[in-house]
Amino acid sequence: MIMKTLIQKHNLKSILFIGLMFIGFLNFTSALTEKKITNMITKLQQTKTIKGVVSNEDGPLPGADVLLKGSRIGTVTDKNGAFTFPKPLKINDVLEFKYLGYEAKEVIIKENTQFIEVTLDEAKIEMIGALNSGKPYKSKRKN
Amino acid sequence: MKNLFFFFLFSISLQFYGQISDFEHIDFKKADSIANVYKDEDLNNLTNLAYSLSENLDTDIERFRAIYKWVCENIANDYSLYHKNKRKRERFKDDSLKLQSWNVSFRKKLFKKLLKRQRTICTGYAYVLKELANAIDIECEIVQGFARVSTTDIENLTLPNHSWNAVKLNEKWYLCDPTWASGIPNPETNRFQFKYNDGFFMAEPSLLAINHFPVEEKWWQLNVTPPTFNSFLNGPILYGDAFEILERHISPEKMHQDISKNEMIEFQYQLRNLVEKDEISLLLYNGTTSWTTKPSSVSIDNRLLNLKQVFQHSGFYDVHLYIQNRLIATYTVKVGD
Repeated sequence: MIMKTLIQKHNLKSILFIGLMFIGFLNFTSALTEKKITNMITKLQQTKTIKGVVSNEDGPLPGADVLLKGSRIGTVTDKNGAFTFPKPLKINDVLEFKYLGYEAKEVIIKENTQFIEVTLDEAKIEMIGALNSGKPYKSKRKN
Repeated sequence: MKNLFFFFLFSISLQFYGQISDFEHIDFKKADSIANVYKDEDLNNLTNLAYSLSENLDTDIERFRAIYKWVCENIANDYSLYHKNKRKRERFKDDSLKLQSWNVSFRKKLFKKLLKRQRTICTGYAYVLKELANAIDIECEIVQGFARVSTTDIENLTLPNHSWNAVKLNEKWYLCDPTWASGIPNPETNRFQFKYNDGFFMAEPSLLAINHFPVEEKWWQLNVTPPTFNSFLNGPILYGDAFEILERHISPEKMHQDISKNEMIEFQYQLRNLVEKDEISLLLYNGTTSWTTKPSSVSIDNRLLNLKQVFQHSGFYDVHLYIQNRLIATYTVKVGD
């Protein structure tokens, strides 16, 4: 009976000890993760001014649309095809490049993105057109 | 019998599509007036234009409507570009390399003109509509295919000649033809003239199929045999006004009929709105004279219009159907002895 109580007391101590160690460890790791997350958030929130140039098969393309995807915030390229985006951008923001008759392109802003060079490719559409006509049909007749 | 079979398949295939009657509860006045407000805008910033046209509207169908209306009322059809393209495509039709290089250079010229002067041909309309819709997250595609009108030379209709659009709203595809909705040549000057035709907005698919034949089968319906190209070429001629007045063209399925003297031809249509019996007439032309006549019999029952015409004299007739003084359809009839 006495033996049993002693063992129980001993076990209780070890359990308590292991428990405390575990809590300490958790605190330690969570402090580390917290620091990492804070760092990451700061990085993601950092904004920067993005510049770039848009061209097509003939060289720099003036008048191309540069847009923050999902919004109407944007600019158009100048006569040298160059642009400075009007709003500072964050990592993972997406810029869209568009020009009439060309396939749109998207660029994701990465940690090291500063200057973007984009070449747009022509939309491969066959251009066709049939006129509607209100002219009454006239049969071809053999005379 | 074979035709009936195709017609039957065809009817099933088109159930996948919706049409304008799905939106009967929607009033497009607001969307149309917004399109009108932005009349002086150009194509220099498509995304901005798409937002401006759509941001004060509540439903996708209204947003799409404002864009569509803007395209139809602000982009002109350039007939000289059309004729030039037609000539070159016909010249190079057996030389795929030359055809391709023509297509590339023409495309460049066309997009320049579209941007600077807002003038284009069909694919340009379909392209701008698609880009504007896509900019506000509405799924819209260009459909390439064959179109047939009263002046089409069907014997030489071998290359696709027309583009229109399919748009997805509420999980259903709808068909629109912004080019034909925007206007037709002025009958006197033959120059393009803006004249909006509402019949090509969410057009009734079976009606549109009479003069629009897509190249890609997916624009019919998967798993179902589409009508043959031949049956398309042999169908009746429908005019732009038909799309504002008819909901369906039921019979005859073929443009040409061979009958005997005193035999009767029956015509059947589903109307979009009620019309009066005396607003229906036929213009007949026998090669020397043309005259207007009332059909031998007319009945209208719940918007189902039935006409019968008896031909008493032999000859070859062009038969034009007019409703409310608007040219709807043309058929040819050979009356034997």
